[in-house]
Amino acid sequence: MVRNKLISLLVLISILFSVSMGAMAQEGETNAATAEHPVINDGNPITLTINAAALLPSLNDVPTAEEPDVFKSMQTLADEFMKIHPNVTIEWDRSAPASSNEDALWEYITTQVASGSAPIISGAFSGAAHMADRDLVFDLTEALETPNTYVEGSPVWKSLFPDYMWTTNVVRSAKGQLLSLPVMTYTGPATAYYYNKDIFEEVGVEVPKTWEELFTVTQKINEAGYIGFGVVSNVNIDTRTWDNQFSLGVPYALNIKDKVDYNGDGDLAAEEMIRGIKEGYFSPTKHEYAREIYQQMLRKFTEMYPEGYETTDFESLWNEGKVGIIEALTARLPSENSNTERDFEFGLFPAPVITSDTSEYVAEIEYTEVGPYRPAPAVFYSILKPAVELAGDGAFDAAVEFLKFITAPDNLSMMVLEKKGAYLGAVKGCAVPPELNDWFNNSFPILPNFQWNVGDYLSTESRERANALMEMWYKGMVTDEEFYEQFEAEVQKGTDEYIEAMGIDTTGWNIPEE
Amino acid sequence: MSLKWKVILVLVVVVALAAGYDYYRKTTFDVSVLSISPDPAPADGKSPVTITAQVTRHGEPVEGHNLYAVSLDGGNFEAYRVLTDADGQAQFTYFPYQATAYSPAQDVDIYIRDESNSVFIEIYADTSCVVHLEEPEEQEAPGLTMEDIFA
Repeated sequence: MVRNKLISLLVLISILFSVSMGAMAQEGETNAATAEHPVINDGNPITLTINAAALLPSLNDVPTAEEPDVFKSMQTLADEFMKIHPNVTIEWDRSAPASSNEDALWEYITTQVASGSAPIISGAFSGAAHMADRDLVFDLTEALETPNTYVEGSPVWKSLFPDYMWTTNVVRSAKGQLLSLPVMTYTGPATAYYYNKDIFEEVGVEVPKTWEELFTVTQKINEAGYIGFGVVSNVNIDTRTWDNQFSLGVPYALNIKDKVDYNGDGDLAAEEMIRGIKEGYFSPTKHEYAREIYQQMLRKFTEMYPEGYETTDFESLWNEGKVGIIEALTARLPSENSNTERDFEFGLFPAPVITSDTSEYVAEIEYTEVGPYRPAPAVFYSILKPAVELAGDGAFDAAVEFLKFITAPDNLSMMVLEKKGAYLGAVKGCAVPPELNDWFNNSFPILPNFQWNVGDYLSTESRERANALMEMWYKGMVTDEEFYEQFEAEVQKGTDEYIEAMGIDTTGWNIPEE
Repeated sequence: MSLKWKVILVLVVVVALAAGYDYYRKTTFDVSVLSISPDPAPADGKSPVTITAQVTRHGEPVEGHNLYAVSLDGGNFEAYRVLTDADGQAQFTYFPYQATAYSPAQDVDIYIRDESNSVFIEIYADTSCVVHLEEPEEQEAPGLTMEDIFA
């Protein structure tokens, strides 16, 4: 009896010893994890609400025929992050408006702040640099100089990215603040022209290499009885029309480089653009070249868009093989590859750039041998000041750490590959989606950060009025002269409002008297 | 029986007959996977795997049917719908996911269905297969890298 009791006691002691050793081992592992990465919020619980926009995990994590597009890598990464930082809970904001409607998004955020539930990290369509006058997001300059401990060797976070990212106007404000963190880029230019190879062969035309050739080829296809150009996108009439961004803006702006590149670094930074506007170099009332760029934008609309385009179903006509060329985002490529309603071969070519064949006021653009040149950020996130104020300083650290985690090359590669060629990663060492192999066989125009984006630095209200003026002009409701005069007045007014809101110092600027 | 119930009964019979017909039709079509190459494939996110599927009916190849493929375990198809050719065959190009510490290389279930065999109601002939993945070897990536693009 006594012996049995002794044996039982020994067994109990052994069990207790094993359990305590196991607990100590687990604690050791957690301590090792903590030692590798910073502690967030002193280890206290914190919730990180994220408006992930284009990278929002899909609700279904198993693809079905009805919903084949599943995006779950962001959730996988969030789960792993929460294992590393068990005091952090990540929640997704699924009620934010589409990031393409930036005014609605900011209105939503304002409302959410008032109700105490704003996302701490938010994506935004045109970049926080354009919203800098609202003072809603943190400057990430300092955080970017800290180590990214989720990458082997803990390199400085900023060094993971190519330098040109920090000069783009979706990231950098007119005051030099870095207000957005780029996570993914476009796959070269954001848009492409998709063409019907069968029609091109039948009509005997080649892929257009210049802006002028684009019109010539379209006309020949029209004359052959097909629809030369089908309008499936790029229907908004505004200062940020795709033609301005990818075909016209850079050549016209580069041609006045000696006037507006004030610091001579080859980039047209936000503050240089604003100064150039105020000094009149982008004014259509003062310069023929400035009138001409708008005339070329109008030309695409009047010469290439078929009559009645607003009510024509060009998607069906494209599938039926009746359309020679359409223009769409490169993100259309995966679905176009799966489009079995189309029984012809299609190809893609980058937006052709305007040359001296058309205008004496443009700089000549060089091309890459293959592959795109420095694609612009497409998916980027900002950390919202009001949300951090509500949640506490630990929220900023949590946001920074999560953004560091998802921009570790291996982690970002997971998301890029799952996006099937819709985007590229914004960091070095990121995987290149194999779906883009054919697209990358094209030569791409080398377009430096030197855009003609007069609309980007207006107050929101002025930008809306300027866009409305453009639309009236396109539709013949105002004459050329009326448009130039009213548009320039709106640009000047909107730029003044932006300067005042941002507190930009205009000392030394050569602003003409009105 | 009131008119309303008679109409409902007729509709139910019609739907049942249509479903029955499509179910019978489905059994006359056969979807099979002829080959998967390479097997196993490296889980490197870029090396393509060619999956050849075939649709036959009463042993004869069927041309012009829409085959739909989806991976239930990650990776992407270059095109997830492909039409069968004169031999009843359709080739899918599958890109496995890139194996990482969080998602190691493991077998991937692929589901393929014939979306064209039904007449009235969607009752699809289908099949599935397994793509075996292995950890990729370290090697230089062919084609452009992000460093090339950023330069």
